[in-house]
Amino acid sequence: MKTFHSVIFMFALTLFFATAVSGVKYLQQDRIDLNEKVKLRRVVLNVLGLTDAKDMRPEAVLQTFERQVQVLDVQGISVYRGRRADGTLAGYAFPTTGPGFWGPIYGMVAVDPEVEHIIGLAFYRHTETPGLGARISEEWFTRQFSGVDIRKAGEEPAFHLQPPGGPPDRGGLDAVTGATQTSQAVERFLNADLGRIVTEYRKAIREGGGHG
Amino acid sequence: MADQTPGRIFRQGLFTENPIVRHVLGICSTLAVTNLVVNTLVMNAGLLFTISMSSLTVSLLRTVTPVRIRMMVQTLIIASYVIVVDITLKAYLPEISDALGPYVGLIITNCIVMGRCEAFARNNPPWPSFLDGLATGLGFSMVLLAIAVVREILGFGTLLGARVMPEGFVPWTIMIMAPGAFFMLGLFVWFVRARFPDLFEGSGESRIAPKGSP
Repeated sequence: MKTFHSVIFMFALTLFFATAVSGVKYLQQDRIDLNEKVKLRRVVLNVLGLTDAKDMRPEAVLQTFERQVQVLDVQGISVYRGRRADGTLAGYAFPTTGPGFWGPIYGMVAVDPEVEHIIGLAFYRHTETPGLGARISEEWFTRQFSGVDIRKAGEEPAFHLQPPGGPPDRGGLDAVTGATQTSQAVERFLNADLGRIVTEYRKAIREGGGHG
Repeated sequence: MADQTPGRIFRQGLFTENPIVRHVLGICSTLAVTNLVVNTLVMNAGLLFTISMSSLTVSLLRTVTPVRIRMMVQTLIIASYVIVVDITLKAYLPEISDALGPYVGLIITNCIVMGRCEAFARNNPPWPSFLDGLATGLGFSMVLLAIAVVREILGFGTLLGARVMPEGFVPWTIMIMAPGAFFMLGLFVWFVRARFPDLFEGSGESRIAPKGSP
């Protein structure tokens, strides 16, 4: 009887709190979705170098995106084609993602209109260790990818990460010290995605640029 | 627990039974979120809300909660409030929510919150329990803020994002990293207990705190 009472009590209480929390979540969902949308679009504008979208207000981000970026559907993934304010083509931004040390890492990599060099990279969602692996989203790390030659990315890795301070060498970029696993994960999935961009998506983009 | 006047509750929460200085509880968030003052302020607000509301709720349910499942009930209550804090941050302060990352969710396992529910709220009426949660939360916040101010000034050369150190100041990178937090916490606890023994060493019975939690 005592056990039964405990079970009923716990069940009722859980039902009550779960309902209350769900209610709060439901009421805020639109706002959270909007924040997510602004965040993603801000990242796209940033990697394409269209504007320094870091300090832009959410409305401005959405407006600029609306005006200068076109979303293409290329073989099932969303590719973002960016134009500068004067209408010239700035490049393409591709989502890149893969398993990190603790969980999936989501990023966005932008390439020039010829799909020959990286023009921007950002990691915007991950659960890597703060202060160590999490530093992949810092500017000093992502900035060094700008200019990386990806023409041969289909056959060999476009870049590799090495301990900072080592001898400069072709395609070698600074890894994050103390975050070997995270660095290796980035190296692995980003190289794979760059390869796919060059071998598969480049053709699709050039042939009329998809639709959308 | 006869004499639970608000004054006594606050003196205990802030000083004589300060959760960090006296019990060394809740250290993970102390170490993790004190490198920027603004993160610390938001963390403190979240913890204050969670601890006072949880204490209040646990106290309100104290006569009907079966003793055997009280821990489950406390965890459920605490988790619910923490999720509400998390959702609110995601909706209104997305940047800070990103910066705090998993640490908001980890308030659930902050042993200070459950400690107060277990040691105070389940044996005391709602109003003193609410005040006890608030006082303990303020004691926690006070220490975090003191550490965060020093770490941000030395680690970034700024305070709340505004530059306070002279041009050419080289930031102490270690202050941003975890070791900086350990050093600061140790120095802080040593300093206040040595400098203000009357305030922090206190007398009177020690309130029971759970052991072995992060």
